[in-house]
Formats: sequence, structure tokens, C-alpha cells
Amino acid sequence: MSGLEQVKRAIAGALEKAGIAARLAFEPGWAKGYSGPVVAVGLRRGESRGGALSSYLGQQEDPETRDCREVYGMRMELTLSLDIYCPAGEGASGCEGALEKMHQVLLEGLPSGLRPAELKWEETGWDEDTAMFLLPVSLACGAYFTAAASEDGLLLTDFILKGVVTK
Amino acid sequence: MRARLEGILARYGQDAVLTDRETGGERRVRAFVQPVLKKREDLPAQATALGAVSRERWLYIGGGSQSLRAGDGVACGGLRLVVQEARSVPWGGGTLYWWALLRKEKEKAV
Repeated sequence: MSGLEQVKRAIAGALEKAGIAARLAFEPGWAKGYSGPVVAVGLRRGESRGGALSSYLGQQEDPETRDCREVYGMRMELTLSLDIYCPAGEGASGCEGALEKMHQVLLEGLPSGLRPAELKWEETGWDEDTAMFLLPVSLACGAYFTAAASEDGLLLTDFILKGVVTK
Repeated sequence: MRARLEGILARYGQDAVLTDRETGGERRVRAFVQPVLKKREDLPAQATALGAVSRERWLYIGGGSQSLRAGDGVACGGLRLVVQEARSVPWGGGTLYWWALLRKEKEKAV
């Protein structure tokens, strides 16, 4: 899974865990009917930053096997779209209620590799295409990934978002 | 005029079931439900962050005694449609017929 995909899935997963319906933006398929607010998690803008020394972070020793692994890092600066859609029956206030819950999740419930920097939102409006209320929200955040290689430089793992359990 | 229109609906209209958006109550009616035909080069769907949305629309014309409002359901000929916009067309002191624009109902999210 690509780095961007990992970030989007980590945020959607954290929102779902807190009881907020979330969907990855622009996934193939037809729009479904929702009975409450739903957040579309997508990407507005991004930059990938390489660190010094070819992003080399240092060595890590496996406490059990005593094998030594080289650890590499990758950093991305991203602005994600977390647009909140709400069915007509719930009214525009449904979007604002979901925004408050989402704000709490972004402060407390994200993996350690995601560092939120700024959350911005605009006025709630009516979206003609989906026939739902829409509150556009943007989250600027840093995403930190690590990859491990054996001492001879053979890559052991792909870049994984820090703080995400993969086993 | 009203009786004449009701007669035309009964003879040439289609069977439709109206579903109230709040109570879920159903009414069986005779109405004209026809697709709104647009230019052929228009794509029938629009991509949105929540998924593709159908751009197809249907025109509803039904009797003046059966009111409609946005969000009500209309089932007709195997199609499940929802009212996007509805208006009553007056004649004298009452309603001659109901005009509505319909779009496809979204499936329930799982």
C-alpha cells in the first residue's frame, strides 16, 4: 500500500473507531445513501521530503534475535480533505456536530506517525450533485514513515506509517 | 378541466407508488413518469467524493389531490426514484396537477 493510501486509511479508520462514518474520496462505485453525516477522506495537496544522508535514521537491534537492521525514514507534508456530507433530513447542523467529534479524534486518536498541524473549515453549503449538505474541511499534517533494511542494504519492509500496527 | 386531466391520467398514465419521506406511508396513484432527455454527449453520471452520482432525471405529472414534497419516494416501472423538487399547478381555487422532478434513489450505505 502506498504512503498516501496508508495515511488516508489511518485517518478513515480513526474516524470510524470514534463512530463517525468515513469513506475514501473518489473510490470507484456509486454514491450510497447515508442516514447520518459521512466524511470523505481525500488528498488536496502534498509534498514528499527526503531527509539528510539518504533518509538514514540509524541502526536498530532486534532484542530477540540480536540481528542489526538499518532504519530509513520518509516524511510527507500533506493537506488532506476531510469534507463532511450530511443528508438533508439532518440539516446543516449535522455537519457541525460531526466536525466537533472529528476535531477531538484528530487531537487524540491518530497514529503517532501523523502530526496534525492545522485544521481549517469553511461555511456549510448545499451540494447539488450529492443532494446533501457539505462542510469543506482541510487538515494539514506531517506523515512520518519508516522502512527497515538488513545490514547489506536489502530492503526488509516497505515504508510504513509510524505508529500503525502491521502484524 | 380537472376531471378531464384525471381521465387522461387514468387512461394513459402509469401506475406509481408514492412514499412519504417521514411516515413511510404509501399511496398508489396514476401519473406520468417520463425520463428527461438531454443532449447525447452529456455523461449520465457525475463523479463526487462520495462516489458517482446519476445525472438522469424524470418528470412526474400526477393528479391534484396527491401532494408531493422533496424527499418523497416514487416507485414506477421497476425504478426507485426520489423527488428533488415538487410544485403544485393551480387552476381556479384548487390544484390542477402536481409537477415534480425526480432523480434515482441512492442505495443504502452498508
